Amino acid sequence: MTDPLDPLDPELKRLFDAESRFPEASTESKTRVLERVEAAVATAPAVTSRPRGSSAVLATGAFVAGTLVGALAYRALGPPTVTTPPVSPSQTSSATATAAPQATAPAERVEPAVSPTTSPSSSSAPAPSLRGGTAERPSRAQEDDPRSRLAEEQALVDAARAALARQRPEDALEAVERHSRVFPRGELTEEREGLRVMALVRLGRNDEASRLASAFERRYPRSPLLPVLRSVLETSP
Amino acid sequence: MTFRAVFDAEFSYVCRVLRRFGADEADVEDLAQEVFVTVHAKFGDYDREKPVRPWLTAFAFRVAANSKRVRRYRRELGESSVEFGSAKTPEDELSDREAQRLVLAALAELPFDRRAALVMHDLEGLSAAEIASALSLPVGTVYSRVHTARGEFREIIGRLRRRGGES
Repeated sequence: MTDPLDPLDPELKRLFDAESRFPEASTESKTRVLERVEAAVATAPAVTSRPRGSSAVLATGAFVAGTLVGALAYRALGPPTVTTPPVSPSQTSSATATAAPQATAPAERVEPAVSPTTSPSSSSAPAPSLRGGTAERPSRAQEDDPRSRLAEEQALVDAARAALARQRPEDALEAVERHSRVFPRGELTEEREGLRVMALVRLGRNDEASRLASAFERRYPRSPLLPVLRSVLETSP
Repeated sequence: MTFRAVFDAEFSYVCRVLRRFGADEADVEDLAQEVFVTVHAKFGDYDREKPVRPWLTAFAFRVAANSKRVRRYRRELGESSVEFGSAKTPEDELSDREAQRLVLAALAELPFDRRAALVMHDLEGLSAAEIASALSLPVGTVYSRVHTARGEFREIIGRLRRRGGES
């Protein structure tokens, strides 16, 4: 995937460079924390318990996908509390373990996704209405500007995610299908198709969801969303 | 590489990242402790062939994401508690300290996930692929978050500076 981001503009770069010159942590601070870490690990239990149960699997899988399903799991389960150290996704699902030692997913206290389409400071294109009235094709300017296209794509995907969080799977599916029409080969296709599966599960269209999840797995065999989708399907009524 | 070696080499880095993720100065040590306790527990999983910072950053992200003491989103995009009175135009030089306060104040006004993406990509220099791998996200999502965050960050910086020029 080619990098669609422009280089950082000089003003921001200058600010970031200046901010990076913040003094290093003091020796005293480092010593304090090291002592506390050593005390904590000396008293830690030898074996870390793993989350059990479908709700815990769903919560763990939800964090793996970040905000993609954070809202969905949060609404379904209520705010989970972190009681165990982070556990690798490969330890809690049947998904293939990744080679990289990716950071593990603590039991998830992930807030519902705040749709950036509702952010007043968003610089992207306005969020499309879920009730029609939105062009089915990107504008000429959007077609010419990859940044604008990406922002428009993100707005649609975020609208779908937010609709799922509001328990409106039909609205989520509408946003997904609009994204399909406008950006059939968009940068966020993988995320869109994951949301499609989740919306279908919520609508009770489980056979269709299963079929699409299988197609998703064939198309994206290493997708980080796979454990989440499997969990959602396994726990669907 | 031992855990102690990683701690000694990367303690300042983890503190800096936590600060950028939204931790108040008073909470940085506690959160850093949490990060390194977890790192210690998972140290056996660390692939010594890969750079350590993306791996550490992912732990810092999760600790920050799950901490009640990290500002997740300042919904009232109005008054900042931090005053920036010295620079009236972008051409004016800010001291490093003022720049740090300005950047952290602006970062704190971003939604957490976009804040983290901007911090990891533009401030910490991780690639989109590294960020995607560390956070289990599609690469496209990472790009999108960074792109959106940059635009929001510019607007916030402009507003904070204008307010400082008026005070």
